Amino acid sequence: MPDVLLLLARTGHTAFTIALIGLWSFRALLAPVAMPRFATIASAGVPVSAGLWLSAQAASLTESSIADAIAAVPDVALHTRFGNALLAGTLLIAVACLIARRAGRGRAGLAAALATTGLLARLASGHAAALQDTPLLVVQAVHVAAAALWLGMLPPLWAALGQHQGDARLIVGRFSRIGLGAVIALAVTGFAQALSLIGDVPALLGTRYGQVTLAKVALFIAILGVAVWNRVVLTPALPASICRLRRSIVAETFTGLLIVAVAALIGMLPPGIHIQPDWPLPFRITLPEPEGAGEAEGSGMGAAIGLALLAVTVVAAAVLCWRRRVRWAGLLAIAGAAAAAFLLLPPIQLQPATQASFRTMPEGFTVAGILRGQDIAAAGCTGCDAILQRLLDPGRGRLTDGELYKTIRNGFEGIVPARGEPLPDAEAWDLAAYLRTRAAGIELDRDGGWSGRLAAPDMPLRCAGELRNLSGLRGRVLRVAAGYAPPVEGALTVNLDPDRATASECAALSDTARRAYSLIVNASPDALTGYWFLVDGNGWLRGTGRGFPDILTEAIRAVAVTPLSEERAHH
Amino acid sequence: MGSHPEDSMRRLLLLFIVSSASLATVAAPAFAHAHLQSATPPANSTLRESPPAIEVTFTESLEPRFSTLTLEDAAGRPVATPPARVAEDNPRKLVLALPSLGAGRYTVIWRVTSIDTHRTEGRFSFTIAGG
Repeated sequence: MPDVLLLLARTGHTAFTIALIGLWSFRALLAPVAMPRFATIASAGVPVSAGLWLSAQAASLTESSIADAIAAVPDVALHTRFGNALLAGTLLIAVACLIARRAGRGRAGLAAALATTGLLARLASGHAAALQDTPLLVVQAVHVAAAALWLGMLPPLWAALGQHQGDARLIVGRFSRIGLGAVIALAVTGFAQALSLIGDVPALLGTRYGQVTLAKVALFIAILGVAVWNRVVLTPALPASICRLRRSIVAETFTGLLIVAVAALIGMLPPGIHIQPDWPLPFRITLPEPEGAGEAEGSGMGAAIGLALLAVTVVAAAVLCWRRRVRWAGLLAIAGAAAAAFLLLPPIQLQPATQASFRTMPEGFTVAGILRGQDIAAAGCTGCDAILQRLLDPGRGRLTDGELYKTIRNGFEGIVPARGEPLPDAEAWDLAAYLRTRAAGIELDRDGGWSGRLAAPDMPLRCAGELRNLSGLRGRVLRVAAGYAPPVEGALTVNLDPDRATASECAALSDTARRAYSLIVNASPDALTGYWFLVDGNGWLRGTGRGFPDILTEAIRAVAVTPLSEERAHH
Repeated sequence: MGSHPEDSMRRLLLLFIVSSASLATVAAPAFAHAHLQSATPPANSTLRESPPAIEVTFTESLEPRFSTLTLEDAAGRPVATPPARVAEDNPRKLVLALPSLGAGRYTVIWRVTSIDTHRTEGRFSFTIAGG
């Protein structure tokens, strides 16, 4: 119940604020328009919805009912970032209301600017502010301001078309110029936000955040369709089409309101990038693994040209549409999209997938997990051999961690599970970590390399007296070593032996680290002395060997300039 | 020691073989939890002596009034500590000052609210070996 109230309050506060911003912007930029009752309702709605929002948020934070949460409202209002931002924003909007009480374009402009600042103040308690991501904060500010300007101006446009029928063509012409700018800004900033907060296709299709975002995109396309119809069909037929145009604007406004509600819901959900996705399809798309670095660069260049072409096509088609060259716009859009698709889409393969395909190890890929998994395998694992064989057969497509987990628990792709009874969740993940490591060791012996990426197992370390995790050393090339390992240029040395702590820059806290790393090279823990493992700045194992410091230095240099890309699990 | 140069070249080649990209998520280096970035003492670590404090850093800035860190001993009894506070120099870090702890296994329980009003919770353990 508090969640429904929260959604209603968020939607109401945003919608009322946008209505005021739009009304005042319209008066400042386009034409005088009288909407006294509308302005009164919106002005009263802002503080009422703010009060409701504070109460519902207090209930949510204190996990109590709305009635019990009233006592916590002052605390939430005065001592949280959310409360401060909401109060400051609402206060600014109240000042704007006072300024706009008297007529005048200048006053309307000032009121619109103040109310927009009030609306943007809320971003101080949004995802971007929490992540301390300033570029994302700027992107969100542009997105919110553009949405407020476009959607907010729809009701006054509807009113003005009734009040100034003679100037209809002039007013609509000016409005659509602002609308076009806002739509382009919304599309670009929306895409940028999705990249930061959703990140990839599994999160887009497999998390609530991604799915609700898709619904918002669908609504955006719908409202854009109405806008194009208004611009291309109804506007040229003015003044005869004025009634139809006004009806169409009402439809556009309601779609806009729906978008505001969906945006409010998105703001309440944790970003998709932080969530383990549930993949909804029975298959997933994989790219053929590139043979070498050169080919990977080539496809990257093609994708960049494709994306640029797509962007140019969208902008050019929008401009043509605005100039009422619809047919040309349509042709250009089709040709541009086809060319971009050709450049962007590499030859793809389909591979069977499961709901768990894109889940990642909840506690990470750790030494402790690998060794617990080894104990589980030793205690009896009827399916382990078959699963190991599957891991050693990259020709059938590489199993993701999530698919490996699924195979171990329930069986997958015709392979039997590890045990007759499904293993508990945590144990299945531990066994996945062990089997992945074991397969890597066998593969290294068999092929001299690994067929896919392997992360350096994480472990607690002591670095110059301080406790750290291996994963906390990202951004630097690491040389993980066993036994005597003098410092080497270009890499931080992490020794697997705790008693080397004084001689090395970092050393493992526990001697179990040696056991887990010995699995990676298929050696016994005692035989690991003299081995090195290179870890790139993003935590990937990039090579291993013994002795030969000259080759090591060369390899460190190569790894430093070509780290493998990060994966979603980093967030 | 003592492997052939050929062997080493083969291993070096591996650097480039491994640099293959794939759309699928494979064994990824990951943190202990989506929202927990790092902890001191680290999760599942074994220490020789009692640490002066527990410090947990999260991926987002925290709301001090609605973020707590508590400690339980191996039997699940709460350990008496002053309340956790957000570090002055880092709005993402919670610090729990500790009394001197005896040997045993301890569990840290965190319930935090980030400034975007999202709540998350979790736990991790560490052991003091004593002696």
